[in-house]
Amino acid sequence: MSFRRGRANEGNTFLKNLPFGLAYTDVSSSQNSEFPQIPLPVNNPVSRSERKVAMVYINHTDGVKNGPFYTGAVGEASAGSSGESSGAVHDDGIERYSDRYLKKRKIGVSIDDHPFHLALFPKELYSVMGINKKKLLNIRKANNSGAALFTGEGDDNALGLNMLEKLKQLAEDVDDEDEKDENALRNRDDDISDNDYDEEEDEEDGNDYNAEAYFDNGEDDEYENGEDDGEAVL
Amino acid sequence: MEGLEIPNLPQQNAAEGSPAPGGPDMSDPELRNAISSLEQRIENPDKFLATELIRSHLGERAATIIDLLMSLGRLSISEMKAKTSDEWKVRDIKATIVSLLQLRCVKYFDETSFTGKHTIYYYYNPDGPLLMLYSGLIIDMINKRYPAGTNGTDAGEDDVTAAQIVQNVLTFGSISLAEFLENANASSDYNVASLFVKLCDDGFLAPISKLNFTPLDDLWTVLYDKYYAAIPRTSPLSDLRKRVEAKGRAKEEFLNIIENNNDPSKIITTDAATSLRTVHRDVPLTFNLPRFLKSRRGRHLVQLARFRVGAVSAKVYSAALKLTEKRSVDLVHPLTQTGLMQDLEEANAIRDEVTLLEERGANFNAMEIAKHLSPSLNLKDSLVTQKRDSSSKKRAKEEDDDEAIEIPGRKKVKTKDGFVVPNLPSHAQAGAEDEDEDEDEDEEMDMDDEEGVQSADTINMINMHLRLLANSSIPFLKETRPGVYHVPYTTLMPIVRSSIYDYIIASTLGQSAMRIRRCIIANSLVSEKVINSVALMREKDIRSTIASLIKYNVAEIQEVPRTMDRSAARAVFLFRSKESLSYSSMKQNLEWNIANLLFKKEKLKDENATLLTKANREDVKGNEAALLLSSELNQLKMVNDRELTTYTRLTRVLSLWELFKFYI
Repeated sequence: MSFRRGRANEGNTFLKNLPFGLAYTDVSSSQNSEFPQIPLPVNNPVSRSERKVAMVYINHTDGVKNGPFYTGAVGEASAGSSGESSGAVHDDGIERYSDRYLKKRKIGVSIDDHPFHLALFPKELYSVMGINKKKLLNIRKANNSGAALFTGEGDDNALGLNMLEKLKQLAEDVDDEDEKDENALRNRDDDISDNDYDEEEDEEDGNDYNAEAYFDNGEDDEYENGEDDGEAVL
Repeated sequence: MEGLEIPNLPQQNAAEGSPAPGGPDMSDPELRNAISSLEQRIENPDKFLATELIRSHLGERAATIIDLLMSLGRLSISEMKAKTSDEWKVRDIKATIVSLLQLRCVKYFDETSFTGKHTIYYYYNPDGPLLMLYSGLIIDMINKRYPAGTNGTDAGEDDVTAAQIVQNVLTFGSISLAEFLENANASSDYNVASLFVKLCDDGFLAPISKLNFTPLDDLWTVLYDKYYAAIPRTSPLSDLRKRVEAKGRAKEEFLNIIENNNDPSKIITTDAATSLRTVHRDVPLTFNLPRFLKSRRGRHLVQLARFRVGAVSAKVYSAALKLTEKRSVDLVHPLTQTGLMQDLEEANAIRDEVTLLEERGANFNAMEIAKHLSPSLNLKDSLVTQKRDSSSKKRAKEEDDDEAIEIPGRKKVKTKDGFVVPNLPSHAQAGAEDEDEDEDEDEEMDMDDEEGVQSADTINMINMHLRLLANSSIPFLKETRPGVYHVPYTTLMPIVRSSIYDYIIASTLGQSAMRIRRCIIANSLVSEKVINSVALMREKDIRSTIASLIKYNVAEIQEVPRTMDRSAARAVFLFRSKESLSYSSMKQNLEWNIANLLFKKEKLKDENATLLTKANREDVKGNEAALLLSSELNQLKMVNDRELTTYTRLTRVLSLWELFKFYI
C-alpha cells in the first residue's frame, strides 16, 4: 500500500510541479502537435518609390549633419576655442597632408552665420549666439516691428512704452542677466577663467564698432605746433 | 529577458586586467560599450528612438542633452552642468541648446519661484525628432502634391519647387520668405512667393511663435491659476464651482490661443506693387506636422477601403479625403495634453466635442468630388447591380419563367452526349440585358448633349460609390444629410487600428493567434472551453498559442478564485484582451525596431568610418571610380545599399507605428 501511495504521490507531485494548464504530454519534447511552424514575414525588395524616399532621407540627413546646427561629439572642439573640427577619423593631433581635403565643420553658430529670430530664444542664450548689447540694438532697429506680432512678443505691459525706451530696457536686461550669470558662475570653480575670458572678449568686441576708438584728432601730434626737435623726419 | 544573453558580472581578476574564467573580457571597451548600450535600449524605446534620431542628425552632444531631459523631465542650464561630465562647459551646453531650440527639439518655460527668482527650465520637445523621422516622407509627399510647374510655368523655368522650400524649412527649423529669397537662386521672386502662399493656404507651413516652444501643460496651469486667482475670495461660490468656472474660462482661452497661432490668414497678405497674394516677408515659418499627419491618416483609410471595398471606390474615397483633409479634425486634441484626460467626464466631453466637429466640419457631396477626381479615372461599369430574391418561391417561379422565356439569339444547346447547356444565371442574364439596354441608350444619347449626360452619369456613379462606402461593414462614411457625407474619424480609426493589429499578430504569431484574439475580444472574458468551442482548435494548440499571446501582452489572465484560500488548483482562469495595453506594447515594440534600425545604420557607418572619410574627401567626391580601389568601391556600394535598405524598412515600420502612436 505504501508503495502505491508513494507512487501515487510521486505522480501527483510531478503533476503539481508543472505550470498550470499543461499536461505531461505538452512538456515532453516528443509531442507531435499540428501547430505549424510560422514562416516569419520576409522584407520585400526595395521598390522604385521606396528607393526614391530613401534617397531623400539620406540627402536630408546629410544636409542637417553638414548644416550649421551640428553639435559634434563631446570631445570635439567647442564653440569657445577654435570652433572648427576636422572630419578626421582619428584626431590624434598629427597634421597630415590629406587634412586639407577633409571637410571642416564649424561647431556652434552665431547670429552672424544664421539669422536667428531672437524673440523665440531665452535671453540667457544670447551670449552664446554672439549677441552683445550693441548688436542687439542694431538688430532690433533693423527688424520689422510687424514680425513681433507673430513671434509672440506682444507683451501687454510694454505696449505703452516708446520704441527707444523699449530697446534701452532690453539692453539693460541683457546687462543685468550677464552680471547675474557672472555672479552665479563665479561660485563655481570650473568656469571662472572661461567667463572672465569671455567678458574680456566681449569688451574687446564691443569696441569694434566704436568709431571713436579709431579716430585720432591729432592732439598729440607735435607737427602742428611747428616745433622742431632737430631730428630728421623720415 | 528571454533570448538575451547578458554575460556574468566580472570577478576581481578582471580588475587586474586578466579575464575572468568562463566570463567575457570586460576590459575590452568595445564589449563594454556593446553591453551597456543593449541595456539602455531595453530601458525606454521612446528615449532610444529620440536619442538615435538626434545623434544621427545633430551629433553626440545634442543626444546627451536630450537623454538627460527625457530621463529627468526638465532641467535648467546649471542643473544640466551638474548632471554632465567635467568635459562639458556651460558654453557648450548653451550652444547645444541653441541648436536644439532652433530645430524644435527642446521647449522652455520661464518659471518664477515664490521668492521671485526666475529660472528657465528646458523640456524635451517631440516635434523636432518627429520631423526628422518623417522628413523623407514629407518631402516626397510635397513633391507629389506640388510637382514642378505648379505655378503654371514650365518645369524648366521654375528653379525653386515646393519640395525645396519644405526641405529648407526642415533643415533650418524655421525660415522666412526674405531669408529664403536671399539665399535661393530663384528666377522669379513672385513664383517663390506664390509657392509659399500655396503651402500656407493648405496648412503645411505655419508661423512659428513662442507657443511652439512652450509646454502645453505648463501653459494650461498658468491659465487655470490665473482664472482661479481672478475669482475673488469673498465670492459666495463654493470651491468646486470656482474650479469649474476657472476651468471653463481657461479652456476657452487655451483653445483660442492655439487656434490663433495656426491661422494662415494672418500671414497671407497682398503685395502692394503687384496686387498678388504673398506672405509677410519677415515672419518665420515652420512645417506644420499635424497637417502632414492628417494626410498620413487619409492614406491608411484609403488602403483599408481598397482592401475591403474595392479599388475604384478607394480612389473616390481618396478624392473625398483630400478635399476635406484641411478642415478635418486634428489627430490629437490639444486639451488631451493638459492632464484633463484623467477626469473621465472631461475625456468623454472631449470625445463628444470631436464627434460634433466631425459632423459639422468637413462635409462634402458627389458634385464637389467630381471636380477633384482624376480625369483618367473611368467610373463607367465600375459597379454591378444585383437583383436580390426575397423568397424561395419567387426564385423558383423566376427560374421557371427563365426556362420558359427564350432570349432571342440564345437557344438551348444540346451536346452529343445529350447534355443540355443551361441558361445563364439570372444576374448574368440581367447584366446582359442591361448591356443591351445600355447600348440602345447610348445610341439614343448620341443625339443629345453628351457632356451633360456624362457628368450626370459620373455624379450618379460617385454617389453610388459613396453609398457603398457608407453602407459597408466598416463605416468609411456617414451620411449627415441625404447626399452629404462626412468621415467619422472617431469611429473609423479604432477599427483601422484593430484591423492592422490583427494582421501584425497573424503575420508574426500565426493565423491561430489572430483567431483566438478575435474570439477573446468578441466574448470579452472567455474560458478555455469557450475558445475551444468557438475557435475550433485543439486544447494543446490553444494553450501554446495563448501562452505566446500573454507573453506579448495581446491577452491577459483573469483569475477567478473558487475557494476562500484562493488556491490556484481550484481557481478558474479566464482570458481577456485590454486594447490599450496591447496597443501600447505594440507601439513600444515598433518604436524599438525603428530605433534599432537607426542604431545599426550608425554602427555600420562607424565600422566603415575610414572608408567613408576617404570617400567624402573633397578631391575624391565625384571621382570615386578613379581614386578608390575596387575593394573599397565594393565596400562603399555595400554600405550605401545597406543604408537604402535601412531607410526603406524604416518607412515600412513607421507606417505601422504611427497608427498606435497618434490616432487616439
